[in-house]
Parts: sequence; structure tokens; C-alpha cells
Amino acid sequence: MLKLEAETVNAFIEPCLSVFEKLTPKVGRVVVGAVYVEAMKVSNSDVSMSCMISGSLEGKVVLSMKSDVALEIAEDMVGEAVDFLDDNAQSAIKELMTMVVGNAAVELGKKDLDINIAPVTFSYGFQEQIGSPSCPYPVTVPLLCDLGTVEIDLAFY
Amino acid sequence: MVMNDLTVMIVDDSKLMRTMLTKILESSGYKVVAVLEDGFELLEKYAQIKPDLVLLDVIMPKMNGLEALELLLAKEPDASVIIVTSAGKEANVIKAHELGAKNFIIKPFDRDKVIEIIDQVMSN
Repeated sequence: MLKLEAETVNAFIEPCLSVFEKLTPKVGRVVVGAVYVEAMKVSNSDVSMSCMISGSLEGKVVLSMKSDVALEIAEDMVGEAVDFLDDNAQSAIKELMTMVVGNAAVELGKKDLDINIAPVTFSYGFQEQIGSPSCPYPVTVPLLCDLGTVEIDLAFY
Repeated sequence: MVMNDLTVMIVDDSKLMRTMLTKILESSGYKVVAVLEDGFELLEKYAQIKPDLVLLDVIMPKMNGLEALELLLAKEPDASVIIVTSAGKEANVIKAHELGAKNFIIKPFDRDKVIEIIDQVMSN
């Protein structure tokens, strides 16, 4: 099992805080909850954005939240009312995820970790499998926001 | 608003980003002549449209922005391209400059910063 260092985890938390603040102020105050590890974790949220990464770290990063939280975030980003997670709303929160991982890659680059990012995939309506045989113990960071909880999962091989 | 005749092509797989950049550019007097979703479309349509500037995302499905930049500049060495991306790691910035990008805009961006960089590139 890959042992994730705190500074690697922090490299993903910091961009979450800064990107949320800049793009979706409606999220409000964000408190970083207790980091945990759950064997073969399955997300308990119905909206997930997943991003495969390769290079110095291999695996995937997942940002997940309940659909009502996703709707509020999308509405804030798009700047108009959003009634359901249509293409426009999905595009918005996928972009949020891309920025989080992209900014994390910049931070990791400063620590001589070179990572490449694939396009973000969006899933809605089912609970994403985070843990896998190649990464049975993903690390989860809950971000407790005024709108609800957003979780970031780091599943590296 | 300062009106000008400068034309811009936006290439980004994110609808939100295409909309945001279009609004920023149009509110600053630039004319957005094409809004495309990937590198293949850029390579197909650039020669017909010949914009003064291309704003090009990096992380896109099918063909990423750096691959598209390399292929575009091989065919159109005078094309002016600014990379607009959240993948602003040093290696990408260096590669984009080596390939011939005029500048780099990091997402999330401020409207004023976007216009400052575009104005700077276009004035050169």
C-alpha cells in the first residue's frame, strides 16, 4: 500500500479551499474534517467527479457530494438558476474538479512530483467505487462546508 | 469599452469556460469568431477562420492542448496562441513556451488578468 505523506494530501486540500473560495463563494466557510481511511470505500454521495492521474503518483482523485450540494455549487458557478444537473451544470463542477487537481499538480511539482491529469469524468445517480484491488485503502478528506459536505478521495497505487 | 477588430478563437472542452471567456472577451471589445471544444476542431477550422488569437485549454479529451499547439504551429507558424489551463505545472509552462505559445493564463483566473495578458500579447 502506498503511504501518502501529509504534504501530498495537503497539496490537494489547499487547492480545494482556494478554488472553492474563488469560484463558488456560496460554499461558504470550509472546515477540513478528520482524514480517514476506509477499506474498499464506496462513496455515499450520488455525485462524483473522478480524475485519473499518472506520473509520480498513479491512481485517481475523486470529489464527491450530494446532488443538492452539487446543484448549489453549479448554480453559483454558472451564475443563474440551475434546476437539475444538465450539461451546463456538469461542465461547471467538472471544471471545478479540474482546477483542484490542476492546482494540486502545480503544488506537487514544487516537491519534484510530476503528475499528469486526464479529463475529469462525471457520474451521477450511483455511488462511486473509490477503493479497488490496486488501491484498497483510499484516503478521504471531508470538507465541511456551509452547503454540506464535500469529500475528496485520494486513491493512489 | 474599447472596440477593436481583433478576432479570437476559444478552444476549451468546458462549456462554462467557453461561456466565461466569451463574456470577458466581448465585454473588452474583442470579437469571438469561433468557440471550439477540442484540438481536432482547432486544427480543422483554424485555416478557414485565421483568428488573430487562439485561447487554448490543455486538459481536453481526444487531443490535449499541447499536442494541438504543436500541430497547429507546424502548419501555421504565425498563429498566436495563449494557453488557458488549470494544469499550470512548470513542465507544462516550459513546454508551451518551447512549442511557441505566447503566454499562459492559469485557471481559476480573474477577468482583469485575462485581459491584461491578452492585451499584452496582442500589442506585440
